[in-house]
Amino acid sequence: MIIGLTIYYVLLLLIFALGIARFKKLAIPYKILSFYVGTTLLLELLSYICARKYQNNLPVEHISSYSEFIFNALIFYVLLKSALIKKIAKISIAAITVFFIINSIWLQPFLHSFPSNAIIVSEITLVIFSLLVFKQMLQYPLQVNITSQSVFWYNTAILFYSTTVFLNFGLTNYVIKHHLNNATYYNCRVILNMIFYILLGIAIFIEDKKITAHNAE
Amino acid sequence: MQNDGLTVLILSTTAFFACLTGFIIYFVVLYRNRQIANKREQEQLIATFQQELLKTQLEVQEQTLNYISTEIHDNITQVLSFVKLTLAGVAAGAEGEKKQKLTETRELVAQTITDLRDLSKSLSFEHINSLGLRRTIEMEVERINKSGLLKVSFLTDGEVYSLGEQRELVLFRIFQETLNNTLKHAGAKHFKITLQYHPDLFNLTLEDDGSGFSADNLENKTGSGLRNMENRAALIGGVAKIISTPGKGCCVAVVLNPLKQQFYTDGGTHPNRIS
Repeated sequence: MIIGLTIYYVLLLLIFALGIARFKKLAIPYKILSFYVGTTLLLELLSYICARKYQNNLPVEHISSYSEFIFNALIFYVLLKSALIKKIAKISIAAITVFFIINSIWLQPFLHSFPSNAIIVSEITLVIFSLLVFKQMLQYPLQVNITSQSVFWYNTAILFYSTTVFLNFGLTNYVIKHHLNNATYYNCRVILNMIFYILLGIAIFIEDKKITAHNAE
Repeated sequence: MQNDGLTVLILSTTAFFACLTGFIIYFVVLYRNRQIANKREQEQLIATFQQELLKTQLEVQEQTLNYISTEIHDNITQVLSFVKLTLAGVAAGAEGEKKQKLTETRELVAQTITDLRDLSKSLSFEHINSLGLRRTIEMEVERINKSGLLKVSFLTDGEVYSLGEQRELVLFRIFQETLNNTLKHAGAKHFKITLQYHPDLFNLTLEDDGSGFSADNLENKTGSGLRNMENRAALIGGVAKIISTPGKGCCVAVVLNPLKQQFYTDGGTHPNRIS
């Protein structure tokens, strides 16, 4: 478990470093993405420390779930072209932010509960945004190989990660109910996270401002 | 029990990832098909634009040749015939009369040389390329005003910039066609040309005080030239508006955003092709 975690932290650090190294060459969405990876690294470390020291990392989980939502929602806001969808995205970001606050104070208090309600709502929103960007890509296809477009990798990463969250929740219940090996399941989750960040790393690595300008103009 | 659970776990995870991978593969294939369809569509647009541009160039040339032909027939030939007759009569006249006739003849020849020089300038079809739209229109204005057919006023607003060779050619043709319509059909006394150069907006307005026409004319044959103007303006990314009412003249306005790139004009760069 420790080895898996260490690899995961190192991976986050490498992707963050890549984002910083290419920062000037990145378009706005990928600059935000680099900050997101950096913030995730800090919050993951903080979560680990809190779990070790105070046996409670739930407040950090509340913060990281919101940070994940807000960073990605902002990226999608920039990537989306349609003025109407942008407006809807803006409203939904504000509404979900309010929901996060209500949930953390009353529904699933940040000291005692994991913010599963807020995560479900935010991941559904991100999946919808991701599908909208896929649709937008089909509407305005570029004469560039799809694998050379960072938006494709970013979108694939979000679709992959946000849908696996539901699988995770379902499987967590199943694992607990059937007393399955928790460590194997935990390692699988770490691997899924690593795949997600590798996809984001690819997006940052191949990012070309010119292509993104066409995709997000 | 635990083995059954593990099997369910593995199966559900596999099914989930298979669906996700299937979706991504389907999307990639769909995207590729769209790219091909889009490329074909763009190529078709380029071909249409090139055809229309060639047609415009030929029309501008035809109009110029018509003008030159008329000038040679109605002006230069007449003057030179008069000069020939005058010179034929010089020998028979008295000394003082001879001198006067020769002076008149010299003035007429000088005038003809000036006219021929002006005409030679009109022969160049590359005016728009070298002089730009504003100067080319200005030369046409000078010519029309000199002919006395119409009183033309020309206003320019803002700092003049180039709209690109192809756009300017199409705009010049729209100007030429409107002026032609005014001369042939409108019976107008005044013709006003306004060029507005704003950083994100270009406006060409052509107004006359002629007889005008009803909106129905746009629907029939008379309106085909006017519809042609609208189509051509659209090809260069602009909008042409033709406003006219019987007895109140006509106004043709072409508006376009100079910053908006029309991929098939001025260089023909593909809009979705990243260099």
